[in-house]
Formats: sequence, structure tokens, C-alpha cells
Amino acid sequence: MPLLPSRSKFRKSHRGSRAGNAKGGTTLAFGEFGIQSLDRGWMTGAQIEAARVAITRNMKRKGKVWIRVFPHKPVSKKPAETRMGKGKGATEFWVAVIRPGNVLFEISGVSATIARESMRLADTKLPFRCRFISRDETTA
Amino acid sequence: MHLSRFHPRALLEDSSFMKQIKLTVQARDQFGRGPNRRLRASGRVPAVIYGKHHEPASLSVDGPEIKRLLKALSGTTALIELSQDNSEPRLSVVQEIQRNPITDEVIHIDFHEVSAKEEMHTHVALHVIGEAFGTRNQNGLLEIISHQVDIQCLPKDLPEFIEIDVTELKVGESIHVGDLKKLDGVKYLADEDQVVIACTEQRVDTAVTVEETETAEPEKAEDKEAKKAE
Repeated sequence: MPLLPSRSKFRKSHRGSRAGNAKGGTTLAFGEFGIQSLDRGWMTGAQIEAARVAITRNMKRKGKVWIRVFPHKPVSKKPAETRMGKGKGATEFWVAVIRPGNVLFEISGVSATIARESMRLADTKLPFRCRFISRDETTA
Repeated sequence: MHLSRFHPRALLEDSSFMKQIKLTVQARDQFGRGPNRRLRASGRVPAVIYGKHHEPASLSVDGPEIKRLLKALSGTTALIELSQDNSEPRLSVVQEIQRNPITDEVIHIDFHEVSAKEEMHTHVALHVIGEAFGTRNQNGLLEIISHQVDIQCLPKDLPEFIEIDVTELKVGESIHVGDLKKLDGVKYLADEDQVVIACTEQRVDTAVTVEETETAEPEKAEDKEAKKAE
């Protein structure tokens, strides 16, 4: 079941802008290891779920996983073979707007080798480039 | 889950005390985005120092010096002695380091000036030592709730880091701020009951959505009924 808000103030939203780099959520806050985006794009609820499943399966359900992004933005779509006009289509799915620097997932309680492989598998589910980060490298 | 308090025999053997690093800085008289970008392009990093007893001053630090400083710090807290031409060295701690999230380059550094005679507030990293009994033998998970702890002390008593030995920690036990080793001249500012490290059972599916709290609560059943009535 993909992530989606339980309630939203407005049913449909504009496309918005993905310009610039991430302003917040760029460092590890909870876990020992993480995955950080290097590109920009929309990450759908289904992609978040697919990446999460890839991580937890590789970790053999050990350790702890934090999902640092949430799909707040509704994306609408018109049905196939519909004439233009008659208003905006219905909400099809929900996305998180990802900018370069956003930390997407964090994990702890596993070795660096397992963490790196888990994050590599998660990266394969995502529509943009990512990199592996760890607390040891970032602490200063 | 309620966690019983863990009382180790020797929780902390010893924590290293006060590390002091010297850093050469220069005064900076141009401010704002443009001049700072030019400064970074020339290989220097803008910085600022502020404190109780002096007016804030804008500084710049040599890029390679910053790299040496960060390498020396690497997960520890240290006093930084800032030496500047024609003025006395000033003692400080690193308050904040701003980085480019993509390249990890240091963009700006805040130094907080401290007085050798006055107590200071800062945070010190916690270093976990050993593998917990619970994770080794009971299939538990070691959860590090806080990676650093707030302290109050004189600069001479400032510890580099605080070590926590978790080798005897079993599933269901936790280490609180009150269990940390009492260091001379160091006062922990956090509540004594605040959990620092816990050893918990592995849950089947442990993914936590950090922003879950941001999403509004589902509509109450009463509200739905009221809507239906309308």
C-alpha cells in the first residue's frame, strides 16, 4: 500500500517548481546510514514503498528503517481517449518533490556492508541518482 | 514498551578531556553573497565569531586549514584558539558548520566565543563502545536515541566525547542521561530520565515514516456521521 495523506486541504495542486537544492532534510537525523538524492524529480508513493521493501528484504527484517520523505503532492491525470477540456482530471497518485541533497531513507542496526547493499537496491527503484551516506563520513 | 533502567558496573571507563586546536583567521570587511562567493572562489571560507563579551566579528579562514580542523575534530568537541593578526587569540567552540548538501564543501562556520573563567553550554558526541549483549545473544536492536548530549562546564573541563560501554546491555534495558559517568566539572543539561541508548526487540516491520505526524489525523467517526446526517 503506497503512502498517501489521510486528509488534504486541497484535492488538486499545481505542478510547482523543482528548482534549487534541498534546503532542509539534507543530513542524517536518526540512523547510521542513509541514501541522499543527487538529482531532482517526483518520487511517488509506490516508489517509496518499493524502495522500502527492497531495503527491509535485504536487511532480512533486522535493524530499523526511517523514511524521511512523504508524498504530500497530488498528481492528477485525465482518463485515456478523453477530449481536452471539462476541467482538471482526478488525482491519480501522490508524489514527494525531491531536490538534490534530500535524505530519503535512513537505517541503523546493520553492518555498513549490508546497509550499502540495501541502499543500492533502493536506488534501483528510484527515478533519480542517489548516493550512500554514513554518519562516520559526515560527522565533523 | 517500558524499558527497565540499566545499571552497569563500569559504564564509562574514561572520556578524553579537552582538546585544543589552533586556527589562523583573518578579519573580513566585505559581506553579503557576492563578496563571499568571490572569497570562496579564492580558496577561503567565510566565518563569524560571536560571544558575550565582544561584538560579533566577520572572519575568513583558509580552505586547507578548515580541512585540517575538520579532520582534527572528526566527531569530537574541541576548543578552537583563533589567532588573528594584531589581536589576542580568542577561545571558541564550533557552533555551526554550513555545508553544500551535494558537494559537502564547507560554506560558512560559526564560532562561539567562550571565556576561560565562565561556564559554557555545548554538546558533546557520544561514542558507543562494544556490542550489546542483547544484539549479540537475544536478537535485539541497539537504538541510539541521541548521538550527542548537552553539557555545561568550564572550558578546561570540556570532554572531547563521552564513551558509553554497551557490552552488558540486554533487551529491554536502556541507558539514561543519569547513568552517564559523572565527570568533574561537567553538568548534563538534559533530564536524567532521558533515554540515550536502548536495546529493544526486533520488530517485524520497522519502517518509520518520519513525517507521519505531519499528516492530519483521520476524520473521526463522529464527524463522518454528522456529515451523513447533513
